[in-house]
Amino acid sequence: MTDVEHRGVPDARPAETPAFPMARDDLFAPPEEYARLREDQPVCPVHMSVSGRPAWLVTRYEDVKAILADPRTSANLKHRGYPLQIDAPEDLLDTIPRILPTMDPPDHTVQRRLLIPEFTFRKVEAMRPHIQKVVDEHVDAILAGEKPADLVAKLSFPVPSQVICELLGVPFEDRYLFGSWARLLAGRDTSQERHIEAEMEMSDYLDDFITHKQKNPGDDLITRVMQRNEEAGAGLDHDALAWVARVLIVAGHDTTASMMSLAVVALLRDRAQLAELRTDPALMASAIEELLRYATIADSSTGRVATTDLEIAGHTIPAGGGIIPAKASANWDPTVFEDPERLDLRRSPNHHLAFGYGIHQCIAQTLARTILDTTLTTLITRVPTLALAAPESELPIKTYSLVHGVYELPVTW
Amino acid sequence: VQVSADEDRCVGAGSCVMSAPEVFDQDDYGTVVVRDEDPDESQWPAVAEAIAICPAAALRIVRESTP
Repeated sequence: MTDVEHRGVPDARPAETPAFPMARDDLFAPPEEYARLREDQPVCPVHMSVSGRPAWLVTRYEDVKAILADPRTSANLKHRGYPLQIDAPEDLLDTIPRILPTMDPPDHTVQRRLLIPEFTFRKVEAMRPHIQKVVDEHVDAILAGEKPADLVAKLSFPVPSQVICELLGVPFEDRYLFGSWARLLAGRDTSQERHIEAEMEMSDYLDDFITHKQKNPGDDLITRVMQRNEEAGAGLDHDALAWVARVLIVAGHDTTASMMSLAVVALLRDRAQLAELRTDPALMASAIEELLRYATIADSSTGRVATTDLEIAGHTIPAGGGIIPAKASANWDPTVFEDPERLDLRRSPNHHLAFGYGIHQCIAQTLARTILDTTLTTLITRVPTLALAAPESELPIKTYSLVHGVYELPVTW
Repeated sequence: VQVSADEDRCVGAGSCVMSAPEVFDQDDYGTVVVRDEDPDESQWPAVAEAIAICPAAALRIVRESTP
């Protein structure tokens, strides 16, 4: 290790610091420990329970927001100080190409610009009728099927899956493959062997997919990104393009799906607000922002590394130190969000950080919002008697997953 | 108020178009375009919201309008 890399290690030995992630026992409330840390130790040395690496956990809203937008931090997960939440050998990490969420400017700027035109407000609005059709087909199938039904398998998962696969230009008949890989990769019962196998199958598929698209351009995202790549001289090679597709597929599956399921649970918990939402469709826009804040499904997915000594809330994080800006903690910071534990569909202002902040803020947030809007509106309108078919306390929670959510959501109507 | 946008800072998240579609738009590359540099008072709350949530801090009020 070089000197700079050593400087990322906190004074206390990792074993003497709290482990991260911290335990949570509610489907929505972030770990209880965050509340104490926001008060007493807003920049707290921790160690990553999986990788053992030391890091600083940042819990106050203003500090989390500042870190996410600070150009003196890096998102590079290959950095030895990065707060890794997976147990991957360093030499394996070095072989993985840099992907958009973990790139820094100027490379990040070049690649993000290739993708932004696909997710503009106008582009996504144009997709809305098609998204509605996809949602309607899935809701039709649920209503025609057996009760109870697993909403994760029947709606939350397949709707975003179909939308993202169609957008990318994945052939119709291959769409189920991504569903199955994404399930395996996110599944709690997946063995390590099967996990690696699914990874490799998906890599091979995407490798062929890019080759196919290079020979057979279509009216799809990947073709347009390839064209922009040529025009702008951005220099993405075959493998880099396959990784672009892969990141969009992975990010587009688990996140929207998890958010959708948790939104349904939150609304079913609060029948009075659900009734208001049903009678006042104009409430849906602010309701979605509140649901995003309330669930904050990606609390700690966006790690950072200090590229220089950083002063945060009176503490110095030395150059090379890993930082976890905890978005769920920020979004439940009572100095910014009054009574954060209360779901308030009319909350205003609601400047939550659920999609992150700064240059890495979710590139497809408008698409995610539109899928959530379309699905939730359709579900509460067409299935007014929707109810959980199991006690909420028995829902299988994705406890230590990077994306918070439930594996299954049995509902009846 | 008069509104300006820094195209170089813009990261194309589109949150300004969501908050204040009368005032902000995105070009074909996703970069912010100010449609109305001197928006009517009725638009001010929406503009304030757009400025507050812009992830790149790319939006500014450059001048308070004189009455």
